[in-house]
Amino acid sequence: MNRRMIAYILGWVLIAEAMLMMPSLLIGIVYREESYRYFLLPMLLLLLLGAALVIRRPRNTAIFARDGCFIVAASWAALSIFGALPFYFSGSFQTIWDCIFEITSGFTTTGASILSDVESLPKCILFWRSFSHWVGGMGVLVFVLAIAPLAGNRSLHLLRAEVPGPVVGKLVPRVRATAKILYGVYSVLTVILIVLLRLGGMSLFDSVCHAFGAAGTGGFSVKNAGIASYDSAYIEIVLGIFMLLFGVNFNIYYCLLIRHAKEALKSEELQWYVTIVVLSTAAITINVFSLYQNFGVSLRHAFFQVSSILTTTGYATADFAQRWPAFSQHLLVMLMLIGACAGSTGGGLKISRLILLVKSFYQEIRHVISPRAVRVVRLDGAIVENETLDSTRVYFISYILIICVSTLLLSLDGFDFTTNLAAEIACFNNIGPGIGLVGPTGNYSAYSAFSKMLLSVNMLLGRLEIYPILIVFSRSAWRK
Amino acid sequence: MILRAFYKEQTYEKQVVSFKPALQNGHNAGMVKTFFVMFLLEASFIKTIIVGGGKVGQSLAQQLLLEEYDVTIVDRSSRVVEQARTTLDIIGIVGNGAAYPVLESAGAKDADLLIALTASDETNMLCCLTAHQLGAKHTIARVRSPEYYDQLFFLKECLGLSMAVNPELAAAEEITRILRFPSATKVEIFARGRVELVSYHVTESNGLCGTILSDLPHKTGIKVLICVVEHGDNVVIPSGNYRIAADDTLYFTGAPEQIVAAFRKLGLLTERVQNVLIIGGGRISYYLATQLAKDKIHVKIIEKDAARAVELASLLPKANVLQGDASNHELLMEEGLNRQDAFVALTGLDEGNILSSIYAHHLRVPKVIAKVNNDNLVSLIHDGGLESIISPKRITTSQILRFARALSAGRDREDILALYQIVGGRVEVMEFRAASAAYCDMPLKTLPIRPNILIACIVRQGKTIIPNGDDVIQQDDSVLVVTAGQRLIRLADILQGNV
Repeated sequence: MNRRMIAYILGWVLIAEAMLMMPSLLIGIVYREESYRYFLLPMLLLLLLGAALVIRRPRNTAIFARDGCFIVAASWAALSIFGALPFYFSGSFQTIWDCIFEITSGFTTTGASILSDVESLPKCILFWRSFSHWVGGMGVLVFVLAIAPLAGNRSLHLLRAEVPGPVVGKLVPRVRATAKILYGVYSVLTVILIVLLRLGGMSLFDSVCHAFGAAGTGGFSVKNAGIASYDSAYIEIVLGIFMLLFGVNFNIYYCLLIRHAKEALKSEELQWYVTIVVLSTAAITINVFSLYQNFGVSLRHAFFQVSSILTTTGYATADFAQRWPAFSQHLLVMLMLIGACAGSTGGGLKISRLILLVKSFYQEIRHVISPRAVRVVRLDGAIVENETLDSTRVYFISYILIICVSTLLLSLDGFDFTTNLAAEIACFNNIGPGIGLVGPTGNYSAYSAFSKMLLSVNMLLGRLEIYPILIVFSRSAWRK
Repeated sequence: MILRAFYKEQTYEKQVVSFKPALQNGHNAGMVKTFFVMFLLEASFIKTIIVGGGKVGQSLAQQLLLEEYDVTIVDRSSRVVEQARTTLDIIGIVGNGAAYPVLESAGAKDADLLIALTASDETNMLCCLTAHQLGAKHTIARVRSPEYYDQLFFLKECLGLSMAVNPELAAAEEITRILRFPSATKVEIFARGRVELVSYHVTESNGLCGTILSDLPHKTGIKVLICVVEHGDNVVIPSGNYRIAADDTLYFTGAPEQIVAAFRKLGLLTERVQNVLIIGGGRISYYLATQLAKDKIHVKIIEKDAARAVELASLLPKANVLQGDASNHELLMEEGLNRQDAFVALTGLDEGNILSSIYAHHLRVPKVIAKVNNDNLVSLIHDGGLESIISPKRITTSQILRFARALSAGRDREDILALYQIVGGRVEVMEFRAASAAYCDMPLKTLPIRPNILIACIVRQGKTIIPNGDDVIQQDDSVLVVTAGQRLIRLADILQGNV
């Protein structure tokens, strides 16, 4: 394990976080709040620590898969702990555990909150909360790779540990250029969304914060009632469409950019994604029609909810946890498990993994019928290697195990089974609101400090796709 | 979790094409898009495709990545591609590099350079032909077989080849140069043979020990320059007050006759080689024996494989070909190893070559040369007392790099004429043609030359000048520059502030 290189890259991450706090500080100054009291100290701390770590570039810059996982896990843990400091200094939160839960939920783009009255918070704190979604969505190491002078040759290990999906590829040969393209596409889409929301009558501050929430597929709102408080069909449709756009594999935008639309639209994952959205929206529209007695309104709510849940954003316009029929609730929970496309900002199991699992299931059935049949799984016309299939299956098993064990531990707090399971699923898949007591109108404040930390770890497990976090706890990884 | 390159590699990365067409169409597509594309671009990197991701392919990619090249590696084996993808900042594609769809998905259409380094000559040539037809600007093929290499002079054009590399031939040429001048551990030629770079290992009993460099001209009365000194792991470009120590390896530059004269004055000259024993009957041995035969040097080759031995005997009527296992020391003694002037180990096994060479060294064979392809082994060997190491892999890499650098120098008139890597690639010797007024006609001592750069030689109208501070560079001179750890693209890069 190359400890010096891990420390070096971690140092850059800390410096990047200090830089990322800058906009929040400025927002506070613009709104005449005491933002310097919340942000200056953490920024100074981050800069000093970061500078101490990067002051000497290690001679040996080679990192391996294990180091990549360590760097990513350590960076995200550091991000969450230092990111919680402004919250703590602002005095709007009761305990440090609440602060850590809230910021982890921000960086992992979960959007689960312990706050009941967000409107009373200072604007700079609200901005930091939403901005953390935007940063966490594309990944902070991808950001660091784009700006800092890091080892180029082996940085794929970092990209791999941070960018979600069963297989991570680069767009162009250089990691650095790839990181820039990803952030470029991401920023342009975000700016378009801000402009569109502003045109829909949202205030500039609200549009920026909500655009960040949608772009990172996070889900923090700056209103107590969330998106429902605007009660505007335009805003809901714009947000619904953009959440879906951010849930698409970003490689597809790159293909469109270099005019390879045909190949981009042929992507099987994209086709499944669209199909799932259309079918679930239709099913929920019919199911909730009796509730709203209006086809347009039912469709609007159904579409927004499907888009928000499938992309793991977690914005809500309707209280599906309390008012919607069981069928719709169940369907939404299933969408939570599936999640968005690989290589997007969304969480969950990922559509491409679902495709691989369904296809290998189908192959297994075929194999039972005719035992001599050769099992071949194809994706986008290419044969999927057995190694990839195996790792996908094992991933699915670990995914289910983590949900089971965590829900068991959560149940120590004494809430009902539905609430515990929904809370676990909503945090692990980085969605935010679940059903039961943690639905769109509820929050997570009732859970004990232990459960909040457990859920925070779960959010990190979900965002970084399990292994980078688990590896830190494995003894063989620490061995020389 | 070993993830194979099936998904992105074969779907999305297929679409990786150059930004250049997008940029050219930029003005139709509107300002916003042009700006966007510009923002994403770091610089217009030179797009390189390497077909065959073996040892040479990967070490070449590693070198190219340090400069402004984008590298895509194509290989048939998914394991090789996966390994290259995780250790190098490249895109990997699995497939047959001579097949149209594979090359197309690797972006051969607008590649600036394609380098074919697969194990098969035929594949390499077909690969270059296909890439050329697809629109690759330059192609380089490795062609090892003597039959094919000899006929390349009339195939080159229709194959669209910019260059053919024959590592074995190049290695044989290098060995021949050393055997012609056996005092040196290595001899390289520049400026079409007008300048030589000769390395010499100083032993403890040597008269040079303790000499200060600036005293050398008085001692010899002849102008030669010591441009690099290697001592253990340290490599320095020495100043005048450097004191020579035991175990230094000195690199002399100068005109060949001057170097010979200087060596004679210093008492370092050894006798001409007349008998050579070669073990291993591969292609290098064939080329080497042919070249040595021209110099009337007697060659004895020991080859293990009976059929190959017979083949060699028929190809090389003047050589004495023996069949036997060269790792058997009794056989070597029987063939008079201790009476040979030189011993060259060229079998396929690096370790075998090293061991036999150490054995020959102990028998006090005056000149011992070993072929070692594995870089990791090279650093170990110096401890065993071996000085002359030939690595066909490194020769190939530096030949291709020279071509690639010339490409990146691009429009400039002042081309890189040659590039040599010495001391395990840590020092580069480059030959430039002078063109710019930035440094011409000014005494060298007035030029703000960056540290760790030495102007070793100037060749003007066939005359070799070892420059001192009062000499000037003139238009169209060939200038030999020695650098440690700095990469030069143009001659102007030697000046401070021009990076």
